[in-house]
Amino acid sequence: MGIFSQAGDFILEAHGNGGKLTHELIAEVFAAGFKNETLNEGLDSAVMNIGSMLESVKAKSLADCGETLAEARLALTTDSYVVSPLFFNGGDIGKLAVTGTLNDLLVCGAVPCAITCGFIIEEGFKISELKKIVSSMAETAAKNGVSIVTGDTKVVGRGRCDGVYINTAGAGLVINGADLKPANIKAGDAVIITGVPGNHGICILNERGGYVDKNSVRSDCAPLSKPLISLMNKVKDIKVMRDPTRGGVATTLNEFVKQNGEIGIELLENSIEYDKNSKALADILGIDLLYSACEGRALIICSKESADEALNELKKFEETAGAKVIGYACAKNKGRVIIKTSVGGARILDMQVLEQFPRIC
Amino acid sequence: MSFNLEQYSKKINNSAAAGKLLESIFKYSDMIDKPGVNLMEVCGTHTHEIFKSGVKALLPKKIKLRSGPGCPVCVTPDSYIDGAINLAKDKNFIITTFGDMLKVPGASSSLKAEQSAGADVRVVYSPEESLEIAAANPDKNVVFLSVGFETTVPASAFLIKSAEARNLNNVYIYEANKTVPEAILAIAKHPAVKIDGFILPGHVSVIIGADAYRAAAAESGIPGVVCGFEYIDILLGINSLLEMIYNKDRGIRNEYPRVVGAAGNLTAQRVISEIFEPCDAEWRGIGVIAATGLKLREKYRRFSAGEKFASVITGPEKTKGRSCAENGCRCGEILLSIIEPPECPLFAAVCNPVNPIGPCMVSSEGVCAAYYKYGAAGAEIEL
Repeated sequence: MGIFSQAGDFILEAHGNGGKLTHELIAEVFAAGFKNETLNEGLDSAVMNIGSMLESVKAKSLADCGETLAEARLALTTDSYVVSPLFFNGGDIGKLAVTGTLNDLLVCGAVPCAITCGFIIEEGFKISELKKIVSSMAETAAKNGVSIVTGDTKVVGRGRCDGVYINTAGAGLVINGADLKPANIKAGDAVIITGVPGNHGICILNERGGYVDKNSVRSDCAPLSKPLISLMNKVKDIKVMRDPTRGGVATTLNEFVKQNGEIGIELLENSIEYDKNSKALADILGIDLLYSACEGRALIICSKESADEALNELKKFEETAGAKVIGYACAKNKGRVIIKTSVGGARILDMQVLEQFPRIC
Repeated sequence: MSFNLEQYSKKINNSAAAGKLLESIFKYSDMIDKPGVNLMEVCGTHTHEIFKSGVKALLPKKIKLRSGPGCPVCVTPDSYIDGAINLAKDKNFIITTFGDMLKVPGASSSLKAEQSAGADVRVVYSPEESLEIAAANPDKNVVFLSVGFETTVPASAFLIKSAEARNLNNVYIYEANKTVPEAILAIAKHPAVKIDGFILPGHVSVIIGADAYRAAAAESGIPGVVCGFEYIDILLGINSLLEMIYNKDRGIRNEYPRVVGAAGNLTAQRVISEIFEPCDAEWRGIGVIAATGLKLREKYRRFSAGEKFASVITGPEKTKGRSCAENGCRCGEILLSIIEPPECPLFAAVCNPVNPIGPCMVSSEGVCAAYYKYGAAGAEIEL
């Protein structure tokens, strides 16, 4: 505590040297923020009992991830976050770092169990801001029933990074029977998006460019734990799910058709809704929201017959209340995503080629 | 800078009206006694909207939409791109530019590549942003790449006026602005170009007014319609143009009156002619077209980067590679619509957005970019 007051509100290079200041930083910022039993052990690794994880998942989310350890499947993912600015309308780098990793687990059919974090902090970064980020991570994790069980801190010299970068990794248990992959898609399957596309990307762009009042466009950054676990518990015919982050909806759907190899996807322009302000700003800036990142949406492909059931389930949750069918997989136009335009024409929705705007997540 | 989102949320597209316009387009198409009708959309934004909305596929087979040279970045010659790259390579310069210029390939580099290598190249939404950059960097020469048609020329002119008013001695423009009406006449008279009507650019017309094209139409005998950018505007424009062709009307119609007047924006025109005077200009792949360029008037010549830094622009960093034409790029014929992008042997396989040979493949208004992006390298969509 004494050393904090000496240094003021700023991160020093010594906060990363593994010594006394590092320990104080961990105790007062990270351990205080993330507090949980595993982290409190203070070991070099988080040590967890997989059997209790199985039971806890069943108790908390009603998800069946296998009766025995022999049946259990572990999902493991990692992602790094370098978003600029660090705080934006609808979230911050901390919320984003937990959300992104949770959603990566969820779209693979996994119930998230634990998260790790690694911080790279620039010398001179405000400790008060770091605390805000940590508390945002802790809150997001807690709301989604996971703990941040271990972490790491490095400090780099001033000018060597842009404030703070965060890496998170996540582990989850895969729901029994879930085998979500693009190869499952068949002609006729429905394409569902869980809400209006592209709001995160356009929000970040506006935060940087200051084109309109920052409150008028909001990031969709949100973990989808509740709706997606509930969907998987209730609806059987889910073929694949993916969160359309960088490259947006267009890029994710192109990944589906290319990885599948046997189908095309046809979207209906008239079925796709947008946030009014995001659409207007995107039009001004010449950006197609179908290529703009989402951080709180999932693209879900399920059989045509189960689409209504899936929509009913998703609409029960605030995060996915705007779920809609926006198109179908088809046997023609193999390997391509086509969009049927509102005037009755059609065009190809290709994969994004070059960066539309960097450092959005 | 702040935009009014409410205003931009109003959309006028209407599929019922589109259906009626298409009916009328088919009717005129049948009535016109010619095997084919070639309409040129001069402006690159029209090209992209035509692809994006899917309008092209809905038209009668005999109506061909041909894309013209209306992408300002695309018609900027190689020598200019290489000149800008040479300026960027010099540590004494900060380059300010619209984003479209970044990826345009020069003979051996691009502004984007130079930026990655450490050159100070900054994307601006308004040329006037150069003023603050110049004020904050008094030891650097700030050069705005003044590329564009009449739509963006007033902003360049204002940059010069403001630089003078603020007594800033380190801000310049590298001039490559071009004007549209004279170019349209040159296309109309080109022996290899067969055009029956022009879809005229909406944004340019806001500045110069619909009447600015009348002389060209009278001389060439080819009608034109000033047209907006929603698909309904484009269908309306095509319908009017067919009606005019059928009636042998060789005039100009304004189908974008909600923003374009007959005389245009007189204030903007005054500012342009206060700062600039007409000159001959080189168009990529086409050559020099008389009186289609703008140069700084004598009184403002000191703001000309082209003049003041001529030695930096042409060397000693003179680029070594080959021009796009030397690489086999057929942009001249593409910009005049003599061939369509898929007819260029480089299209898609050699020249694509990741590895562009010519600017038409990288600019957001470029015709090759439109064919590539919306047509998946020229392949047909199964409807």
